[in-house]
Amino acid sequence: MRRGTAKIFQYNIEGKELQAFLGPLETSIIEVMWSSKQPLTVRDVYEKLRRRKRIAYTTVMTTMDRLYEKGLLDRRMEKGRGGVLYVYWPKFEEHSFKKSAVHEVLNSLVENFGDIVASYLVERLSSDEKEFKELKEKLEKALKGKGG
Amino acid sequence: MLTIDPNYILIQFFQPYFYYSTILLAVSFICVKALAKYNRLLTARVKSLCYLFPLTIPVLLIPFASSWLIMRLFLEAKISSYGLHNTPPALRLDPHISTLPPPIVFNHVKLLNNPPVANMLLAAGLTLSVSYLLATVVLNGRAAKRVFHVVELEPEEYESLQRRVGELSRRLGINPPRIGLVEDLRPNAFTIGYGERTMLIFSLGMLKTLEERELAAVAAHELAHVKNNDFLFKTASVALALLSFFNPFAYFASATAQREREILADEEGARILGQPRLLAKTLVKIYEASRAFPKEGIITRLATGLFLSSPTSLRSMLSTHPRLDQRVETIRRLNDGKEPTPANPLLSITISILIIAAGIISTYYLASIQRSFIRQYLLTMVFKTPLEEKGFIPAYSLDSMKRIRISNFSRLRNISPNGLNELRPGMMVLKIEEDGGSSPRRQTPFQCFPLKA
Repeated sequence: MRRGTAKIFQYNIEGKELQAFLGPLETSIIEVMWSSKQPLTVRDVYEKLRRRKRIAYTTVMTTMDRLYEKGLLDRRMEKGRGGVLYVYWPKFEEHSFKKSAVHEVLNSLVENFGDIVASYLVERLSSDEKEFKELKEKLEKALKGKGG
Repeated sequence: MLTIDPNYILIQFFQPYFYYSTILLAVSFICVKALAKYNRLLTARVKSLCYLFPLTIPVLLIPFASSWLIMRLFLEAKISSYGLHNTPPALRLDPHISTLPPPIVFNHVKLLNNPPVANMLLAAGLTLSVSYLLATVVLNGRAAKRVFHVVELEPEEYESLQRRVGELSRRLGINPPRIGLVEDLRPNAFTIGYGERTMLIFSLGMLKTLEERELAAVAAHELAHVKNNDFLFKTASVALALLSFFNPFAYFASATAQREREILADEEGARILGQPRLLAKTLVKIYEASRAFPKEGIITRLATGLFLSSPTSLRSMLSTHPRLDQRVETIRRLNDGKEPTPANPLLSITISILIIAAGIISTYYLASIQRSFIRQYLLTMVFKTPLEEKGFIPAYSLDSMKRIRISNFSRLRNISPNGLNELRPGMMVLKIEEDGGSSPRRQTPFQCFPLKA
C-alpha cells in the first residue's frame, strides 16, 4: 500500500465520514478492500456485498473500475480460478486516505476562499478560550520553528 | 519388494479384453477419421456420431469378455493370474502325474506379486467414467458453475444482449437459457447444463472485446449447441473416453467428435443469425484478442474448453474446437451457398468400402499377433516356473517347439491355464529334463509323456 496523496473528486456536504468523499457503493467497496489482507477479485467483493444487500455483479464491476480510474484502487492481471483475472487492492491505507482527503478539501477551501476560512477559524475558536489558547501555542511554536 | 517382470507387462497388454478393446478403438478411430476425410457425403452431425463409435467398443466388448465360450471360440484363451488356490488340481492330486519329475508347479509367490494391471486399469477407467457421468448429469452444471466461478446475470444486466438471446432462442425453437459471466479476461463463451438449468456463459473478456451484434453472433453459435444437446453429447464422449483413459486414441476420438459438433454449431448458428459473414468476422476478432494472452497448457485448455483452439498440431489433435481457418472456411462456404467440390457418391462409397476393408484386415492381423503371443505365453508358463526355481529363465517359443517335433502339438496349443484343469487321459503334457550342459537352454530338451488317469 502506498503512502501518498489521494485525489478527491467530490465532496458531499451531507455525507457522513467516508461518504463525504465517495459514493455509498464506493464506500462499501473500499471498506471491504481495507478489511481484506489480500488482493480481491470483483467477484470476491460482490460475494461479500451480496450478503448485506441485493446487488448486481456488473454494478460492483463498474464501480471498482471507476475506483481504479480515480486512483484509489490498484489492479493487476493474474492467473486464477476460472482464467486470467484482475485482482484489486487499495492504493492507500484507511488513515492516510482520510487524512489526505481532508487536506485536499481544506487546501481547496483555503486556496479559493483563504480570508473567509481564516476569519471563520478565528471566530469559531475565540468562542472557546481553551481551544483558542491551544491553537495560539501551536502557531507560536510553528512560527518559532520556522524562524529558528 | 514388488518386482515386475517385463514379460508380465506384455502379458497384461495381451489380456484379451484389454488388448481387443484397445486396438479396436485405435483401428476404428483411424478408419472413422479416414472416412470423415474422404467421404464427402457425411455431414458434421453424422461425422460426430461416427467418432463416438470407436469409444463405444470397450462397452460393446463386455458381453464377449464375460462369456468364456465366446472367448474360447474367438479369442483363443483367457489369461489369468495364478495363485496357490487355482493351481490345477489334476496336477496336485493325481498320484500318477505327481510321480513325473518335476511336476508342473507354479511359483506362487512370484505370480501373486504381480498385480493384475490390465484389470486395475479397466476398473479405474470404469470408476472414472461413472463418477464423471454421475457428477455431470446429477449436478447438471452446478459443479462447473462453482469451478469456473460463474455469476448469474440479473435481468437488468446486459439487457439488450439478454433480449437478443431470447429472440435467437425463439428462432431456434428452444427455451431461452439463463445467462452468466465469468471473470476471465480472455474472450470465451460456453454453455453448461441441460434442460431448465442450461446456462450460456460469457467471459468478461468476450463482453469487453465484442460489440453487441458480435456478441449476438457468439450467442447464436452457443444456442445452436443448446439445440443440439451438445452438453450431453460432450458428457457422453468424455465419459466414454475416460473408460479407456489409458488409450490416447480415446482422447483423440472424443476431441474430434466434439470438434465436429463445433462445426455443426457454427453452421447452425450462422444460419439462424442470417449473417454468416458476421460470425466469421467475429471469430477472427476473438482470435486476434485472445493472442494478447499467454498460451495455456494442454491440461488447462482441456479443462476450460476455450472458444477457439490453437493452430499447432498436437494441441489441435486434443482440442475440442476446430482450427480458426477451418471454421471460417466452413462458415464462408455456407455464406456462398456452395460446396468446394461437389461430392461424388460412387467415389465416396468406394473409398468407404476400401477403408472399412483395410480396418478389418488390420484387425485380423493384430488379432493374430495376440493369438500367437497367447500360444507362446501359455507354453512358456508351463515350463518357465519350475525352472525358475532353479535359476533358469527359459523362453520357449512355438518355433523351438516345432523344431523338436512334438507329435501331439496341435492338442497342446489349445491348453489354456484354466484348461490345465481339463487334462484328460490320452492328452500330452511336456516334461523338462536337465542333462547338465553348460547353457541352460541346451540343458532343457523337451519330452512328451502321455497322461494316464
